Amino acid sequence: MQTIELLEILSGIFRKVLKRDDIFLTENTTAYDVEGWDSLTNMVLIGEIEKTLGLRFTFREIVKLKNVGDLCHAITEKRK
Amino acid sequence: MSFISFEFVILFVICFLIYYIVQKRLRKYVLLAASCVFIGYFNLLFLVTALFVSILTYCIGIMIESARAKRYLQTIYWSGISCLILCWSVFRHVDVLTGNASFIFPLGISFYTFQAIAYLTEVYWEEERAEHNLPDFMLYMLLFMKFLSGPIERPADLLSQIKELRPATYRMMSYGLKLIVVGLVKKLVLADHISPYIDGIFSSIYTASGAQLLMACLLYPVELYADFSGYTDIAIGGAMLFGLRLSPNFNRPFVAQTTTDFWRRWHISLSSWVRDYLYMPLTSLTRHLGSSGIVISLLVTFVALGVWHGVGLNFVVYGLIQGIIIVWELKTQLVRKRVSQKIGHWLYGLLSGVRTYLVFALSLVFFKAPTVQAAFYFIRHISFQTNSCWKEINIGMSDHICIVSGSALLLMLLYEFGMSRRNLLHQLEMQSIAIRWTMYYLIVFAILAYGKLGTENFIYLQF
Amino acid sequence: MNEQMTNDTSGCVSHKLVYKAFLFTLPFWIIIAIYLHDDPFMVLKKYRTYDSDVVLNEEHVGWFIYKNNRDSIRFNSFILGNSCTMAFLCHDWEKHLDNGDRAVRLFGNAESLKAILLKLQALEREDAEIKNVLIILDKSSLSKINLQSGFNHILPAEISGKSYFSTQSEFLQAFIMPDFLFPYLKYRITGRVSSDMKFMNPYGRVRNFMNNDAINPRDWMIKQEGESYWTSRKEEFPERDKQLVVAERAIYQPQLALLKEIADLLYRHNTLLRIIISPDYNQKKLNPSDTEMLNKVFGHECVFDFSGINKYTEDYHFYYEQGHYRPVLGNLLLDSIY
Repeated sequence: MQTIELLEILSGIFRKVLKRDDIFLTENTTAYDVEGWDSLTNMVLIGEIEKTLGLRFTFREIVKLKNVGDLCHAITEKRK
Repeated sequence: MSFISFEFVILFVICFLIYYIVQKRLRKYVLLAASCVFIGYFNLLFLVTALFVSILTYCIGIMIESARAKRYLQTIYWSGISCLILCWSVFRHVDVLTGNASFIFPLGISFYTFQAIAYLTEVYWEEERAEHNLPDFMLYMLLFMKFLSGPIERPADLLSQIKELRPATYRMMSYGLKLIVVGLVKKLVLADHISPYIDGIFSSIYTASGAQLLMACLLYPVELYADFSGYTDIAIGGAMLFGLRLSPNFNRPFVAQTTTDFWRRWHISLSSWVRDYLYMPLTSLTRHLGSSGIVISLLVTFVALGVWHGVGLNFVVYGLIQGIIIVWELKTQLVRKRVSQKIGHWLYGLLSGVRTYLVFALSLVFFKAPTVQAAFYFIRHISFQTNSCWKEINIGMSDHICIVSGSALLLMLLYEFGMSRRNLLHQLEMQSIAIRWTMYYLIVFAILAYGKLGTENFIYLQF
Repeated sequence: MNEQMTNDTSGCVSHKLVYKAFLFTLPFWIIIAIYLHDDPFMVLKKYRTYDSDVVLNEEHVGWFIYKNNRDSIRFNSFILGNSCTMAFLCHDWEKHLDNGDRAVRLFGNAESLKAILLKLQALEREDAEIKNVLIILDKSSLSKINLQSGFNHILPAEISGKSYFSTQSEFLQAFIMPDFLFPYLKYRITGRVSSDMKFMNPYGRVRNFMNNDAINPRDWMIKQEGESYWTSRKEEFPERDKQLVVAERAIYQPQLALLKEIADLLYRHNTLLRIIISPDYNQKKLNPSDTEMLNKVFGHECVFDFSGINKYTEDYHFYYEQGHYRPVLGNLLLDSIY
């Protein structure tokens, strides 16, 4: 899956979970850039991503993610 | 010895002088020796306990790292964590378990136990290498400036500084001294003036009037904040004199508009600890439950945070209130956003700030009252009667104390507002020597003239 | 070499800080030096006599007088309470006690119940024989459960349990305050006490150095002026309206707890106790529930309430001013209770 495609899917998930339509993710997007994305909603987002893409991260993998780019990379690795 | 005692001043001055006389490689031993004297001065058993926990943590950290390839990694880690929690719990509950009410809870154990847990977890998660230098590790655990009531330091922050032990620049030392003075103003001029009257109301809940209960409830967060942030300022400022930067513990908590934000600004080292080592793993475990998992994790986390503060159902309730409010905020985010748009952001922000303060103040009634029943009695009997006389509203404080502590509160709020805009202390350094020294003399004089020098302890010492 | 440079650099920085800190604190060192040299509150050293042009802390003075003389005098009787104890002279009280009983006054201005308890506990720690105790209280003292702040209320470290340093620092703090420091420096320069000097004592000797009995300068004024002492001070002696006013309740749970501790301690020592509720000039009667509480804790035979409208409060000649009464009334009260 291409990164652009993945970003689009992730943006859709973020919009659904955070209930906002104005979310457009890039590889450099972090929680600071997205209103509503914080420690309270982080795991809900991860859970939804896992459910949508049919994969599972370990806790350590989740904690190591610093931005959306890391998330895309981790998803790509998982799918391999 | 408390930070505001003669003995501590002597110890600090001697430590400071020797620290900068000896060779660099001996400095950590100077700090270590001073830390042992500091801890042992209260009670030698406190030092023994702290040494035991530190050495245990050190050994387990190395075992975790060396067990990396083996299947016993998890066993070692969880055994280590269990030992630390068991040790802390036993000390926390020993007076109840043995019926010996005179048993003294080792000072600082809650803080350094959490620090030890953070260290082991970071090593287990492979975020940090296990420390093999025992003196460095002991200093990380026992550093006297943060031993009593934190901040709870992460290994990445403090251990790395200890390994380098860079000397302080003049600017850093000067800043540290200013921070100590700020802490003394908060503690001696504000917190200690109002605390006997607030404590008096809390110790006579059943006989105080409704207006007095209301005032005590509203003022206690101020007392707690001035006392604890004052301690933190002194701790951070003192560490700066040795070239060490401790983590901040407060960030203007009373401007928070939600309880969620409040806990990102209040006792930051503890709230970030429970977020990273309790809440995040819990939410990860329960993420298949969706938002219900978040709710469960929040409630468990904040109950644990409450229980950390003390034995008793009242601390559980204190923590539970925080968790419930945060859950409510999470669920009502959209509704509140609409309200904000309707009534205007400024008004909404003001009302939210007041609401957040009042919620925290009410929850602190459970924190401060001796039992849950007493806390409920307190809350039920709060009165908003406007015909209460000044004598009731001032809860026994003389006009002099009202003026002094009111002025100190105003100054503290202005200082924090100013610091949020620009660093006032750095700004002060850029002024001429005449202005600087005039300010210094005025502030020191205010502390000497109006500070309550008789008290010796900080509130968070009991945890 | 690098380590040496780093040492030198950091050494220079710390030297600079120490030097600047010393310069900054120089005025404070000078003030502290004056304080240590003069010991104006007479709390740093022991003295044979506590005579000063500075208003002294009565808590400290009483305790030091007791300790100075207890070996030679063998005190076993103690007058405790607020400043109304000035009406009860030790040798007058001793007339009502057993032969050989010797008394000392350990009072405090605006004394609290907490302070009274701590003093008794300190006496207990000193292995003092606490045979007789006379406690002088009023509604205000009964309500006070916290120790008072301010240099003239600080208890000695031996009594309060606080550290010596924190106790002394409060005196030093009082010394540094401009409203004390400036008049004091003026006094040191001129050698004279003027009436506008706060915290200075223009009356000379105000106590007996052996038992801390009060020597009230107003006694001399009364002797000089006679009846005009009272008639020329109408504002200090307002008319009473003869209506019985009952004071608000003073004793609640915290006060009761302290009173019980006092009672327990005195019971342990088989102390002969008398509690006098002062005859208030304004004739306000102690709340009956307070009297009842005191009787319950200490026993009817120990508690004597002279507040309200009675023959003692009627006669203004018994009073120095509204807040304090004379030994002539104190003796009448002692005659009444013994």
